[in-house]
Amino acid sequence: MRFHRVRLWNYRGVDNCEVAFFTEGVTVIEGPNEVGKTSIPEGIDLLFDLMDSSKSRRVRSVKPVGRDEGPEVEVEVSSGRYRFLYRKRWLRRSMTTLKIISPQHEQLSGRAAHERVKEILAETLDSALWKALRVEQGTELVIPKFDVPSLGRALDRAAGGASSTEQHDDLWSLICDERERHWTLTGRPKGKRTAQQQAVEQARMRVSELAQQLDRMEDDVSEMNRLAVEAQQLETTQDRCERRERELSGQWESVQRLNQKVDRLSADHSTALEKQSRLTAEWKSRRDAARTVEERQGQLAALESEARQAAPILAAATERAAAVEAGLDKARTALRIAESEQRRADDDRDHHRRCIEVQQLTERYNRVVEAEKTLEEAENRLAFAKVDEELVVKIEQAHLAVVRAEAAVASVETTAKRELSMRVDGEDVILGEGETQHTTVEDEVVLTIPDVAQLRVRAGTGSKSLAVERRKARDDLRRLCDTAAVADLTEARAAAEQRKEVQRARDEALETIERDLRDLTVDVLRSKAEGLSRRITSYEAERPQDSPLPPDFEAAKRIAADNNRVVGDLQAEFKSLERVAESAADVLDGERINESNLSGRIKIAQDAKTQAVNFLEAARKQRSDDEITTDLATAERHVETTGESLEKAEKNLRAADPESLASRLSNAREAAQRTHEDLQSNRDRGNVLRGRLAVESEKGLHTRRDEEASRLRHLEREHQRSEAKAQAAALLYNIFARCRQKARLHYVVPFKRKIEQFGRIVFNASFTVDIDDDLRVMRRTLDGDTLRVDQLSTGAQEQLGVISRLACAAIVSPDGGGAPVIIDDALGWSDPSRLERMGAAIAAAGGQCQTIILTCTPGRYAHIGKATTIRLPSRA
Amino acid sequence: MVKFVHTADWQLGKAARYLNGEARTRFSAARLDVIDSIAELVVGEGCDFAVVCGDVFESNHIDRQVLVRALEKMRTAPQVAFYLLPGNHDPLDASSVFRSRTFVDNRPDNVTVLDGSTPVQAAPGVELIAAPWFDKSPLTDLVDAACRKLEPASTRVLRILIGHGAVDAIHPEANDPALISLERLESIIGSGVIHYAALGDRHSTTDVGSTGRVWYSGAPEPTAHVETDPGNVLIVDVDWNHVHVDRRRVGTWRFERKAWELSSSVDIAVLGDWLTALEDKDRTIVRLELSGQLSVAWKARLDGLFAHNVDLFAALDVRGESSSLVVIPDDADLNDFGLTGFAQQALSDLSGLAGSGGDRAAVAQDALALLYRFAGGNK
Repeated sequence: MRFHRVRLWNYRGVDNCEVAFFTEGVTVIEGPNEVGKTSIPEGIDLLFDLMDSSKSRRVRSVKPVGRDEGPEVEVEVSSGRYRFLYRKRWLRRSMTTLKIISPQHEQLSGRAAHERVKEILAETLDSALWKALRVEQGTELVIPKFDVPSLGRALDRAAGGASSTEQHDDLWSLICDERERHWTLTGRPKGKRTAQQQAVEQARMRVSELAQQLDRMEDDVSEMNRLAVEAQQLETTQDRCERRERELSGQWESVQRLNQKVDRLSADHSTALEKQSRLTAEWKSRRDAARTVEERQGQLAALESEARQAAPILAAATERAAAVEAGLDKARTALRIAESEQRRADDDRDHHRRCIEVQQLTERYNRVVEAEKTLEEAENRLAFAKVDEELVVKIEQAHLAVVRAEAAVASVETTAKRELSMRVDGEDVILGEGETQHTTVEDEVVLTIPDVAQLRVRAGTGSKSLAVERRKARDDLRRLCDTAAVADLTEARAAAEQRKEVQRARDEALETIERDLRDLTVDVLRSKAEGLSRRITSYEAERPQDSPLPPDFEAAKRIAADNNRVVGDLQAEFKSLERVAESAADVLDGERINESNLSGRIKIAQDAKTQAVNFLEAARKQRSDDEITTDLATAERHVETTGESLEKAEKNLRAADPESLASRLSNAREAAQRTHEDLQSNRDRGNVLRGRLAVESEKGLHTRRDEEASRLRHLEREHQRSEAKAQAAALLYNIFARCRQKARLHYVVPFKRKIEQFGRIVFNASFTVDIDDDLRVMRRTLDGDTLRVDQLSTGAQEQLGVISRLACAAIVSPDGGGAPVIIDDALGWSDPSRLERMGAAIAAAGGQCQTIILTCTPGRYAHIGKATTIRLPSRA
Repeated sequence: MVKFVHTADWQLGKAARYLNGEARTRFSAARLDVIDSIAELVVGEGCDFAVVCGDVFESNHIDRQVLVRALEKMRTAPQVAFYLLPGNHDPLDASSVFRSRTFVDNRPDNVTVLDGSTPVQAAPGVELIAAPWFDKSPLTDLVDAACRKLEPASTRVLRILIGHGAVDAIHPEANDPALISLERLESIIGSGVIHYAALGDRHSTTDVGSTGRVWYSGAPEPTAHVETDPGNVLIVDVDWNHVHVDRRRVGTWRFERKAWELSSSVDIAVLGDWLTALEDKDRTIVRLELSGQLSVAWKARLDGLFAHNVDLFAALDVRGESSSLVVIPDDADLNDFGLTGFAQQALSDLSGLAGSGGDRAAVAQDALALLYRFAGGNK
């Protein structure tokens, strides 16, 4: 398509504007903002899209403001083999006119004109290409995809395709439509097919259900047939069973009569037996009574004989018992005498022991009393004797200290050759001849021998301290001696020795007291001694005088021991005699018991005999022995007779085998009953089935099943046809899609080559691009760096967008097809250098397609070498 | 001498599954209408009665509407005595249609069910000896069982046996205990026990054996393609010494089955002519068994032929399209398509697949036909 010129009237702010385009090159339309540049392509769109009667928002938005005029557009166009003049006015006095100039002149108006143009454009214009080749002002800058039919055909030709035609596009469209009739975009069956499938399944289920119902009816019929056969068999069986039951019942009645006869004979026989038994018992009783009389007479005689034999034995036992008892009494008397003598000997011995004890207690008492006196005295002395060993040691040490102190102090020893009177430090001292006077010199001592001499003796250095120590030692000694109440060490030692002696006496007294008192007190000790003394006195006064009191304890002890032995011997003898006496008494008791027992038994035997004799005599008075014997013989014969009859009847009954007969009869009755029940069950079941069949057979199930089967058959056929069509459509689509995609790979090459041809003008010789299957530029490589389009700068993306459109237009336009490239105020992001190069590229493409550039920036496209520039006047 | 109509296998209520709804309705109606034709024959030929030798109904469980309409048809011909024999389709079992409430309540007086072997006097001096089926799988020769206890008829009585089932001489299943022994049957006829055996079960009219007295009447309306001579009833004229059987066509429907090998446009044209020549198309059920190889263009023409005739015939059942009949594009096809570039390649791929055999080939042939249509090849 080529635009020759366009004219706008009353279009937005444009009153009247006409622009003529350069059909085989670049037309640059310059003008300030709002002068109506963008209205040119917009008006062309309105003209092509909307009927003159349209009052759509698009139309109303281009109505001039403040004027009651309708917008109007006219365009002169070449498209394919057509060239026409097309004009349309909206809103006010709307009208459409079409004047086709070639190939044949036509003049149309109104709706016919509109429809004719649509036909022409549908025939000659690739609407997708028309949209793709436009860069509109204010729209988002994107690299378009050029998956448009016209480009595809052109590329096919460029790639060496034989003769690509629009028919292919239509064919592909039909194939796609056919596929979409049967398949969703995701490759699933369309709802109609699914519904068909479901209808088939439902029909199949209905057929199946009806078939099952029919099968059930057939089963019922079969069962009815079986029941009929079974009923016949059961009726036959029932007849047989009933006949058998009647037959066995007759036999059973005969057996019952036999049974009754046996019962009657059995009763007779039992009565006879009972009578026989009673008479036999009576006979036995009589015989037993006679035997009892005889036995008891014999028993009495035997007992009497035994009593006679036992009498002398009892007498002998009595005599021996008496003798043994006498001996025992004698031994008892001797023992008692001996025991008395033994007690007196023991008393005598104890008496003498008590005498000794009194003596010992008295001695102990006296020693205790004496020791207590000694103890008291010692305690008293010790209370005043303060010098002990310890104090003596201390005095000795003090004494030694004095000696040492005095030895250290300077002294003057004055020995009188003769009696001498002198004064020592003013104190007169008289010394006998040879007597020596020691004077200690603590500091200074003045010895004055009257008239002779005065000696002043001075101690050396330290003498004063030594003198002090000596005084202290003397004071210590004196204090200790004062404490011990002694004059000096010698007295102290003597006093200590005396204290030891007193302590020893005290200890001995204590020991004596403890030993003699033991656990007693002095008073108890005295009391015990006094008590024993009283018993001694009392015993001596009370003791029989028939025998003398042994002289001493030893004699008494000896006599007691002798008496003790005598008593022991007598006790042993007495016990021996006691045992003999007990044995004799036992024998005597036994004999006496035997004698008593025999007497009792004899009494009893006599009573029993009497009783038996009385019983026998009384019985014989009632019925004699002969009568009993005769009756018994008669009864025995009767028993024999009835037994034989009974045995014969029982034999007959056994021969009839009543138990087996009862079992057979019972079985026959049960069999008849069971057969009857089976037959009844058979008839009941038959009635159920008959009723069910009567109801079911009225439903016409067979016809319904056939109808449903027929419907199913046709649904299946229809479904199969649909599926075959769907599969064919899918296969056709898939194969075409595959081949088409494969061919597109070839298309890419010329398109890519064309883009790179223009791109190298703008960028440099290293420029290459990658094209995807939708013929969209995906990546650009420049100087070896490959970037995705979205990674490029806005300016570079814009440039690439223009270049790709130019390339597409250049490919599709040479044969007069395609559509113009319309660039509305693009390349605003390009630097001057790029603008210059873009100008060269646009110029290169302009020679191969119509290019219309709208711009409000004069000079932006000044670098396009071969271009027609149209400057729209400003509205002002 | 007695003259009667011998018919059988009405199979009223039979649903022809291969027919669409409209044709199926007509087909069912025709089966009922044949009762009228038979009644007219009985009256027109001066027959004494009509015997229906089994399978009067398609099943014991047919729709009650069919039953009452059939009885109504017979009611409207009161001068015609119909004797109906239960057959294997409608045996006299517990669910028998002949014992159903609907049948019992609606049976007209001129209709008699032959429900036992006790002789039924159908006309003065004419006894009917029936061998009804009591279940679907009898274990004996019912005809022989019905005649076994019969003494030879007197010279004043004609006996007509009414039976149903296959005769052993012309039935391949020799072990079937229910087969009718032809030898015994002819022996019975020879001994004068019966004088004519009217049989049902075989849908093709057939003279059985050598006596001329044993016949299958065939079904009065055809029911399947396998039948060789259906659509008839028999006018039987019989006495002790002579028998004359006359077949009369009463059927109005027809089953046509034909195998065609197609390999050229001529074959298709011949097939078209054959279809055109068939009469009574709306009552004709056609089955075509196709084989051979066709180009896409001729297959399209064949499809067009069928698309035209499928509306003319009661049913047009074409078999073998997907297996025996192969569709392969030839050079003319390729020219007709007028495709180039990738479309030409796609056509080539499809053609290869169509000739490869198997299920995919069938789909490819359909796809070729589709492509042919899209590409305007059949304009």
